[in-house]
Amino acid sequence: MNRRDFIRTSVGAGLLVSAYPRSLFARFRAQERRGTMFDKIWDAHVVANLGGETDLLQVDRCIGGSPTQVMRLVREGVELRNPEMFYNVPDHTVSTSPERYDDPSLGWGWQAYEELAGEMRDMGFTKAFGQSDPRFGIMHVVGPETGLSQPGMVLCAGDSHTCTHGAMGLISWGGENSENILRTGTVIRRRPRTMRVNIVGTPGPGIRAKDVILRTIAQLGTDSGTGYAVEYAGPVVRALSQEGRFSVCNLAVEMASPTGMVSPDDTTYEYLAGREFAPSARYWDQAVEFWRNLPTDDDAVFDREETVDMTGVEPQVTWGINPEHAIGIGERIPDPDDAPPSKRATYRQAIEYSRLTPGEPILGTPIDEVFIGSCVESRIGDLRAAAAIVEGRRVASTIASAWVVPGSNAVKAQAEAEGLDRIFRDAGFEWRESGCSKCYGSNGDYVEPGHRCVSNSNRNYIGRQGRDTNTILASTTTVAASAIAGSIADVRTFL
Amino acid sequence: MIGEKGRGTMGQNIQRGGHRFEAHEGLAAPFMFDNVSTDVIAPALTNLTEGLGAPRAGLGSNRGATAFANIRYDADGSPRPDFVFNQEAYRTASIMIVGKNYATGSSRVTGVTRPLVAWGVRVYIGESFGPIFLTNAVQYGVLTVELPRETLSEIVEWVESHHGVRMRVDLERQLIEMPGRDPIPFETDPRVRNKLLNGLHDLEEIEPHLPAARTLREQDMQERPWIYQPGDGR
Repeated sequence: MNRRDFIRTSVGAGLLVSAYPRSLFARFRAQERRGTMFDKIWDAHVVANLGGETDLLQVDRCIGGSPTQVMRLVREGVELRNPEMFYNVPDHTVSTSPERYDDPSLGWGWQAYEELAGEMRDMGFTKAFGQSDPRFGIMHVVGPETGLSQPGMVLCAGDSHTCTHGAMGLISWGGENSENILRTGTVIRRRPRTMRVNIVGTPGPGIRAKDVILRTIAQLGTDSGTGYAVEYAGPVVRALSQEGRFSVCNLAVEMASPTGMVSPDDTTYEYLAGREFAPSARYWDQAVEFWRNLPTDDDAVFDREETVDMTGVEPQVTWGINPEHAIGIGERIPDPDDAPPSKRATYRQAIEYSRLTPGEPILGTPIDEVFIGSCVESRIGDLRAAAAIVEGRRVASTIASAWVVPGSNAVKAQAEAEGLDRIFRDAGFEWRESGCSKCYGSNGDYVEPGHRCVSNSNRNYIGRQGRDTNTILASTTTVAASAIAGSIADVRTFL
Repeated sequence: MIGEKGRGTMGQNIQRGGHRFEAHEGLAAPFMFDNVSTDVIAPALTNLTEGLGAPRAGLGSNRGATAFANIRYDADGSPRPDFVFNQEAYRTASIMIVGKNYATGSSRVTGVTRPLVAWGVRVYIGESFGPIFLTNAVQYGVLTVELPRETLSEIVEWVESHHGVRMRVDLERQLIEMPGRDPIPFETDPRVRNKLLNGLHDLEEIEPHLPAARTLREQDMQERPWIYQPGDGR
């Protein structure tokens, strides 16, 4: 019986009986840790308290974007700890051009990377994935997809959207110095407070995980998570697919929380089972039992609780210059004069920058480009949903650029096996290679100056996708619908 | 010393960690927007106008030159008068008074924090800061001071009525000193304060605990063997 079947049968029937001595679960059992998932995982990783609320934590996984640091440290003769915890995916600078494998001038320092990554692998750092590796892609897609990101871990990386991995039921954050982690296997971190966001209600048609998190940020504010580790909970989150949970946690940092999490459950374990770096058959059921102790206990107390009701919420689109500026597709562009006093300056700046007219409907606003990709929604389920919208339709002739950039080489291969690339191409989309691409543009993929782009990515700040560009954040299916309409569209009329 | 913005002497090779900060005296500039993102502070080099040099050229040059580029320059490369550091009174400021959630967004240590150090601002006084920027700032010896909105308004008022008068931010005594008015006290995390005052590197702080880290990992290898043998036995 393979592991996937094992989970479906034994877990579903409640037959998962431990055959392991209790001592194996000392971290979560013998010490009887109770409380929030965040506190349980954090406490289990504390090496030492460094005074006040700051702890030294053990790190289980660390993701880098370039092997040069590893190489330098090795050449300096530094003893690096735990190579198994380190993986390397240069997603930001890679070209997403279909010619990238043939034209060495594309992307940044590509050949140098391949050379260094080869050396790195020779030294025992076996998980350096170059652009042609089947496991290459955006690091926040690749981590979970290869099974490297697992429940109960502490995972650090340089990139700010590292919070995505928290959807596996782990603590993760970006902005860390991987050199210190490579040298010591530890990280210094001030303990944040805990916040639970309960997402309730009955989402209507056309609502995806991206709409859920945009609505959450619009309601709570783009600085609402400052100082908090956020757990997304409630029936709406429970009902999301594992891919949807990644989309939600991905934008935790857009509410200024470094860490977003979702308690693991069977959805998580089923997602993980059978993936390359997931626990092997030998340890699988032991691991599952361990993970079942992670979720927040019923009597756990959070420092703060918020509730977001998704009933009656329309598909969300942003009009302004930060992710909090999200409104329902049927709403009108806000008037800065009607905004709360503390937000007026930013609203005015947003209206000026976005060249939109207060009081006008956002629906039907003309657009120049669309982008489907990024670590938010570029997984196979997202591409299937977008393909279902565009199948048999054509991208509007006024759209200057319509790209689909799969989140990883594996996603791309799977999509092609299902014929999704054909559907996108027939509709007039450009089908690209995997990478971060136009979400940020550090590889040279950017939105043309003066263009308005409907994008399924996560940031709409001034100049994010290119100089003098306007980003309308939306779900993948809203992007697909807008591409067809040639303007900001209501996906519900395309279902 | 800090000169004109973007012409600071600290360039590409600013080391991470081990920077001492005791006090800083300099001119302050108000930049009171909320949620100013790292995309604005340090735009992707490819997102810069051609007037600032072809994409990629910035990598080897002084990173301070590209800080705030998209709101600092017009498309033709000429300085925009509405950007605070382009105004005569604030051209050489080294203290920034900012709003809420300043430097939210990306981590980009090499892309954001180093350029900001090169750019020459040593102190940020604001209502709150992006989570990653807070950590990075400490590593580069840059002080962040959090104060309530009303206090920030008082400081801005002082700054705008005292052009050319230097402010002093004293971490040892946790005071902001402005000639002609009472100093404003602030609080910092004791560990961060100690670290900055003594110029400690993270590694110096971690070193004494390495034996404990080893012990914990050995125990962990027994408890969670799957973490250490990813994909074995498949």
